[in-house]
Amino acid sequence: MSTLTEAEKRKLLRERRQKKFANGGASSRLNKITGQSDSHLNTDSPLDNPKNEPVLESVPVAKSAPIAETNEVEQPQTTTESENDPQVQLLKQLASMQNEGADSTPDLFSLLGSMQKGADGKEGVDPVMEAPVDPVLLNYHNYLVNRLKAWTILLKWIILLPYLYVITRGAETNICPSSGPLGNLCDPSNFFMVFTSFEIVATSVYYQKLQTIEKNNKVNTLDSNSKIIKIVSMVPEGLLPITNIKGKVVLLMQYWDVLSVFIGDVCLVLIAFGLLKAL
Amino acid sequence: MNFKRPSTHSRMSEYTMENWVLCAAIVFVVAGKVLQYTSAHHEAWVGRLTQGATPAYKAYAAKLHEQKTLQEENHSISAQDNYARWTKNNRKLDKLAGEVKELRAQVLSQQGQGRKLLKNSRLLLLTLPFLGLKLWKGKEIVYYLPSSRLFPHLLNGTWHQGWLFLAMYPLKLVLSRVNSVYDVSFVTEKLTVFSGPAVGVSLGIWLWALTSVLASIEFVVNTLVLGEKLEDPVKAAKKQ
Repeated sequence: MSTLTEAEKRKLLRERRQKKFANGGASSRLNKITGQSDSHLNTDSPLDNPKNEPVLESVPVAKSAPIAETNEVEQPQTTTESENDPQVQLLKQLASMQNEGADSTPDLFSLLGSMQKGADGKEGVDPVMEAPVDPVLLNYHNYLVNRLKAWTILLKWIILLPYLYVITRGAETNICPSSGPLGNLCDPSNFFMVFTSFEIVATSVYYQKLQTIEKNNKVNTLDSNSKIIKIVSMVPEGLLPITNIKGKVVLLMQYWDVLSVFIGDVCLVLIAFGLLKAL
Repeated sequence: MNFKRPSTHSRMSEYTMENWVLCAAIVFVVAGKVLQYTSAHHEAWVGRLTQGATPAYKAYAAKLHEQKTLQEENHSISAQDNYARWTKNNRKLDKLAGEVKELRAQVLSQQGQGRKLLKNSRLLLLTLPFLGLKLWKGKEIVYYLPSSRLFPHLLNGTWHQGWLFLAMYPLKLVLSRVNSVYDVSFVTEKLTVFSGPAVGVSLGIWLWALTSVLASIEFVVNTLVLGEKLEDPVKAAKKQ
């Protein structure tokens, strides 16, 4: 063969090619790939196979053949299998945790706690509070809360003012009898007790209505609005020697809310006494 | 403890305080509220006070006008047909832009000075005199409550003597205990703590109560009367 020149080699190859085409042998290679002739090549396409998506399946997808073209198709399938395995393992672990909880201690609370951990993950503590609130909904919620507060103040004052009139002018205008329940009501010594009881009842009704609104809108008023709570919630847990600092601050703010309402009404009482003296 | 007894012949004279003190206090409160409600107009007042006649503002307005006319002229002529004029205008516009920027900075600094002036005048004419009045006449009684049995002793003392009572009362209790062992009467004599039969409302407490009541009334009126009605966003989305 080395004795042949380049031109002669090329001529030889050309002749062989022409013969092959004449015999119809050109399509043999193509047929081998598409599987129309008897071929050992794997003709499965990755597009035909829906099992290539990352789902929890450990069933082997395709028969592996040592052909280069199919290796690329194989690799994503093997990686999904490897991904699926940890997920399957996690679910198995959770199931075993639940079973252990049921077997070792028949405690409802530990069951609920483990179920919640499995189901919610990190959001187990306060799912409503962790999710960011839609600003439009928050606006509407604040509008409702402000209206409730305003109506509460107005109604309380409408009830308090006649009572204050009776306390100051009751003796002069003969509204108050000297004895009996109405007489006790008009007695100045009972004023603070009556006033405080009324405040307690009014505040309880207000807080009940506030909780209904919060439940309907799924918004926590203090959490969403208070800048102090936002700052405190950013403080990491171990920084100060106080546990659950956010919860304690929320409690303090709620108590202060109640106290400020009470103080507001006491201010009205003082001003009303002054006005009733002048008029 | 010395306090004035209320006279009985007219209702207004039930106020034990001198009239001018009460009137001045009311005037200060009203002025404060007026300033609070007109805060939106403060910028306009500052503008009128400082900008109207100042040369810097006039020059700024003139340059701005010149810039505007040149820009209009440049837009009206074609850059290709009147190239020379167009480029000349362009160069002028660039120069004017620099001058306008400088003058604007001057005008803004003047505005800042005007705002500062308004703030200082508010401090001098309203805040400080009001504070002075409260410190000077704060302990005087405005009127007496109908009965001393209305509130518990702690609150009675606070209305009569002010917030200081809340600090002095426990101290007096401690000192009276100490006095039974050691003689500390030289200290207790100086501590005048309310213990009298008639309970009055001191000016400081009355002003605090008045501002609190006014704020509550404002809140109620703003929320119920003046506030705009909002629709439930969930229901509004469902309707759409």
